[in-house]
Amino acid sequence: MKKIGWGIFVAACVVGPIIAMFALGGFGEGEVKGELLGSGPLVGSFALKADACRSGEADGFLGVYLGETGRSDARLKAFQDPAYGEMVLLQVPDSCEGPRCKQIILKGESCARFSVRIEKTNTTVNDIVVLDGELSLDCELASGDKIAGELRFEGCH
Amino acid sequence: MRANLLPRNKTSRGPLVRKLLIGIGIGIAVLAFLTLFTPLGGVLAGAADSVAGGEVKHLQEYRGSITEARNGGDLAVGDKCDLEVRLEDRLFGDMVQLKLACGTRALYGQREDVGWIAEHTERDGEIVHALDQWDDEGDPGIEFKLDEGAVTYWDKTGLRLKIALDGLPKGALPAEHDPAFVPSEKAAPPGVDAAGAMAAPVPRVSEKCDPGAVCWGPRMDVAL
Repeated sequence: MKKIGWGIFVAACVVGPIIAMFALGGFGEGEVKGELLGSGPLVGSFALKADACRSGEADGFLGVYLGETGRSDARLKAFQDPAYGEMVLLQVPDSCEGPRCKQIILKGESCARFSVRIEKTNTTVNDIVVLDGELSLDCELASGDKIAGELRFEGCH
Repeated sequence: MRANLLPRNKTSRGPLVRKLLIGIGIGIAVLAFLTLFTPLGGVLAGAADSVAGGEVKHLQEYRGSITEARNGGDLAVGDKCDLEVRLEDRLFGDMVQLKLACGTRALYGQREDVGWIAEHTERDGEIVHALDQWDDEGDPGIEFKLDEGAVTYWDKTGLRLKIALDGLPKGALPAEHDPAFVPSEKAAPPGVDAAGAMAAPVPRVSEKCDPGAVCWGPRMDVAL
């Protein structure tokens, strides 16, 4: 009985929380779903399947970084600029040449559909407010490149 | 009282003036040393020249095309480039300056990386070789070799271009009579090629990140 009691205690205190952490989205990476597709003469053809996020609060902006964990250059920054409103800075995956990469700043003007929603939740983790939101884009640039897709994120901190 | 004050003032002013003169002399000597024997001289001379300006004593102009483009960004083999090789009379002596522009981009000599050329060789008054002095330090650099009809340009981002020159000084023919010549500052508008004919616009990755444009920006390294 004593052995069974210790087993339950260990399972409840150690194994259970670990399983729960993975089930609820890992170690604070948040949950991200969706993808952005791009094509055109300057960006080539790419798909950004975001699976991780991080709040920009530590970097001084209201917004999130989204990206793929396995591809360090596949990154996107969706944020609310105090002066210009919602904006998206997209780093084109696999476009980096040394310290610089092909990037696009997207605002509403060049897009048939441009929606960026960033919501603060009532939860804070390590003094960072957890963010939920989504973005939906359908943009055609003057260069002829097209960016379109939808991303949803939850629990980003 | 007056008789007592006058000599005392005179004797106290003498050493002060002398110290000032010695200080100015040392300052001039240090500046001259730095200018002549250290790279800081280039900076100082450049700063002085940017104010004083320089008279162009000799100018060679070429047009060529990119023959090799390693990590060329939005520049590719076949793109046209203009090169100016100029000898300027500067405050601290003659200086060779190179200006390289490809398409609408000023690659060298017109931005912050003004070509302060360390080595140059002249033959019959013509500059046949010029090499940027900062090439060993990973900074933007350029080398011009007239005999090989080539220019090599590189920058710290990995951009490295080899450009073949046609070897014909532009001065031999007025620019407006050269059908292939398009001044870099007045590049053909989008949709119009060098000869003025309508052509399909060639989009390029911009160096400036304006909204709605594909540009080169600093790598976003964010751990997720």
